Amino acid sequence: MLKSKPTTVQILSPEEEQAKFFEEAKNNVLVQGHHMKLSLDNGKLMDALKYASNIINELRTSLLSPKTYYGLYLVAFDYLQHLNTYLYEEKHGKKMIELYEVVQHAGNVLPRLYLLITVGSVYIRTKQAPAKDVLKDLIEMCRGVQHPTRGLFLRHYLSEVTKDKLPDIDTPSESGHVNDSIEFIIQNFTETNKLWVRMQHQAPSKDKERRENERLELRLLVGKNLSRLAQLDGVDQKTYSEVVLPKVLEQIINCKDKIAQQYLMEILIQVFPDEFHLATLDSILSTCGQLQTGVDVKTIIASLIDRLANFATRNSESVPQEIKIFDIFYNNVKEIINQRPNMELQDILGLHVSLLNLTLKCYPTNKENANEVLGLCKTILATKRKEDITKATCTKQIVQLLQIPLEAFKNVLTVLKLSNYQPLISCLSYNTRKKVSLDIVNSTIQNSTIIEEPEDVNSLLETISTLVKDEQDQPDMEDIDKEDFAEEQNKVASLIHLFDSEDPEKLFKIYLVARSHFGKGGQHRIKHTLVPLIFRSLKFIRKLKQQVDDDEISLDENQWNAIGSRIFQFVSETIKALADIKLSELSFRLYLQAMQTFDNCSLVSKIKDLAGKALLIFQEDIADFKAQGAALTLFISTLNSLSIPDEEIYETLAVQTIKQASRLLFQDQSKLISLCSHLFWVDHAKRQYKNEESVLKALKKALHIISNDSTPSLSVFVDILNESLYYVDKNTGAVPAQFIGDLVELIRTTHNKEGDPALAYFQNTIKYIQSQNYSGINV
Amino acid sequence: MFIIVLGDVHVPHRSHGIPPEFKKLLVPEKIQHILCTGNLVSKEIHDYFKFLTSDVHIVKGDLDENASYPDTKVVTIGQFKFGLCHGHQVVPWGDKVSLAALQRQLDVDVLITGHTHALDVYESNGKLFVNPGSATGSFSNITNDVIPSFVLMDVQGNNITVYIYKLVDGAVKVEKVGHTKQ
Repeated sequence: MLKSKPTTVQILSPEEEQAKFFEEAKNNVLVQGHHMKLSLDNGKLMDALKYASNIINELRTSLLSPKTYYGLYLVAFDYLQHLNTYLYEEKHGKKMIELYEVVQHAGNVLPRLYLLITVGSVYIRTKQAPAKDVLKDLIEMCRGVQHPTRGLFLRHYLSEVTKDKLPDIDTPSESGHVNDSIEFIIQNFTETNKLWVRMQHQAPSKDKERRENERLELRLLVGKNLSRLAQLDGVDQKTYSEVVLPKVLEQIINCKDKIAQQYLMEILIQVFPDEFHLATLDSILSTCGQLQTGVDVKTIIASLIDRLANFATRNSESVPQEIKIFDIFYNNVKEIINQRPNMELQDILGLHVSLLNLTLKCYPTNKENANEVLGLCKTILATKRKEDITKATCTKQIVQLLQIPLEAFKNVLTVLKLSNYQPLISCLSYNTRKKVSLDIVNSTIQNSTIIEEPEDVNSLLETISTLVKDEQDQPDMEDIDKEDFAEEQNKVASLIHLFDSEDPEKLFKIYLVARSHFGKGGQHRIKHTLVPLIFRSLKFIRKLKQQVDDDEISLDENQWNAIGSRIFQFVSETIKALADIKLSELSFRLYLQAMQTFDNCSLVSKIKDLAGKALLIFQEDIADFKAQGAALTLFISTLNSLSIPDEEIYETLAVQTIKQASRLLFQDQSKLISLCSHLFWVDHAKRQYKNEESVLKALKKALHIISNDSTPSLSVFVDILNESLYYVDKNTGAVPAQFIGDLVELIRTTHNKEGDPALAYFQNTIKYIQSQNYSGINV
Repeated sequence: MFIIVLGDVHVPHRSHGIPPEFKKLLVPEKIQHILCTGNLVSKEIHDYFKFLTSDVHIVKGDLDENASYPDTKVVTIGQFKFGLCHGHQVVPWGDKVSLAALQRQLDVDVLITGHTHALDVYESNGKLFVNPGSATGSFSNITNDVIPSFVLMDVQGNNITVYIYKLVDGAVKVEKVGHTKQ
């Protein structure tokens, strides 16, 4: 006995091992193939068949993974093609029937069948036998191979070499009918699928995952059969519905295999035309209901829905009326969700998204369908836990369900009519509710949707309530980004400009509804939302006044005063809400705006009230000197603009204004007192009030104040000079020429310092005076 | 050199936005400067101007909260000095005599003011006075039936061509006025 030498054992990885087996087998194929070609070149057909048989023998291996096996199959396939071509050229002088007999004697079943198929295909091509008979014979014989991988490739070979020889509609009847082809392909499909499914059960369960991956690599071998069916001209919609589909579905259901069902349903939907699916929706969908647990039914149905929705959009006329696409999908989807209690919520929601897209593409104006989808979703969500609903993947789809109607209808009013819309929002978390509410607001603004009914305003503001008022689950105000918050509230505030109605009663009711909603917003929100409401109310009453003046609306004075009082109450109460939260400068300005409006509307009694409120804020809540100066300037210009006929009220206000001005810093005081001169010279279309004496008095007082300042500013002197010139330019007679001349002289001699930034102002004013040639003024 | 002059936007106080017809015309690459008379009154409008061009000049309107906006501003572009002021500080509002005094004070060639929501472009004493009106055509207690408007100025040497844009019944109307520096 020889003592074996120690050898180094080389351990190969599975990949290296596969490569090694493949190389060996491939070399054998190449060698045998070479001999086969030589024999054919020398006309030795029998030898060639023997070598061909040897080639195929290599395909009997069990060592290769399906992927590697495929590689080897391709090498062998090339040689068989070569043989095929040779046989067709008939140089061998043999009848096909003889050859068909000869190859049946090959020893092994696999080489025998490959050769038989090769010869059989030539047999059909040379028309020496009817296609249908040969096909039938071949498909029967293929049953002889039951090993999954070998069987799969053998049947794939059969399918490949016969694909251009299948009887179709134009084939002469003696060769066969398209039904023969259908039967042939379906049988091959069924058997291929069985083999494919059986692969799953070959490996121990620990290799399940590897096995599943290997199977997926081979799925095309099964799916090809369905594409073949789809390529037959003879498979029209009728044949498809009555013959092809029932058989295919039968196999899909009966194979009870998750991977096969998933793949075959997808490929079925993919390879046949949309019209066919439209005609057979019920069968396909009811099949979906019967698939194994674990099959991703959602993806299958969603892809079908999306395809048909796009089809309907492209060919709106060719969707037959009698096919109720939405109803079929809706009922089936509902049924399937019921049947599959383990279906993931995100998948259920995904189906809703597809359904909603479908109905809005197929029936763009149908609100009921959309509402039904949202309703189904609402019912399902009611049975789910909050933490499942608020998962990001689910939330995203609910948000989509809420966005789709906004985009489709482009009208928030239509969306608000969907009774299931608002309840769906309520299911969401605070931030998501806010996001959806903003989508609604943005859509309304972008589409400039005018909202004319108080109920609709109410419904809109209720729907977006997350933006309108505080909610229990909102974060602390400190944790909210101030800029984002302001931007959101400004958006909400913008909505008010889209609330409009030709009917004044209705419009005022709208403002009351909006006020009651926004009133609940708290100080951070009302700052944004109440201001537009005030301006709209002011615009509203001005327009109403215009309509009364133009006799478009007839109201007697009592009626008008009553309406005016209601609006006044509304406006002043709303401004007060802002004054109460110490938005002093804002509420002061709003009172001034209201004064102008009510003045314009001849509601004089309100002016005194509003002015009083404004002055109170000025005295009590505006502390900063600069802000005081700005506020008082506005008060003066506002008074100047009024048409207020009651001189007593006016003069009281004028006196109060001067009193307030006297409280300011010297510099501001002087400038403001000079502006106060305009309280005594009002000259516009609506009102003339001319008190020359008081004008001059104010200017002199201003001059007196600035002259007594410790560091009098040149610019204030020039301001007073220009203010005085105003009355000269307007030919008022209030300011004597002497006053101007003296003032210029005073500035020149006392305050004209080089380098003063106001020097240009002074020089420009001098130049102007010179250009005007006023009589009596020489500067 | 293109300058956009506009103001009294009042979003969201008095309007829900600058009309889309105007937004279509306001394209970033073509505008070098924005002179704004104020009353935006929100940050979103400020950001929108900044998106159009980096050179944005804004003065404070009576309802602007932004404390960084000055009451008046003088901007030199080419050979022109532009004075900018919202105009609510001018008594009486929009009065040409009072505005002339403001022009003398700011020592400018062109005085731009707003507040009245009434578009106006005129020359006086050799100076140019521009009120671009309200870009949103928003409500005013001073002017009835305001229509949206803004102004585009093309500055070439000593000349300014003023293009006036108005939105009348959904259609943009443009008028042209020329001005030469004296």
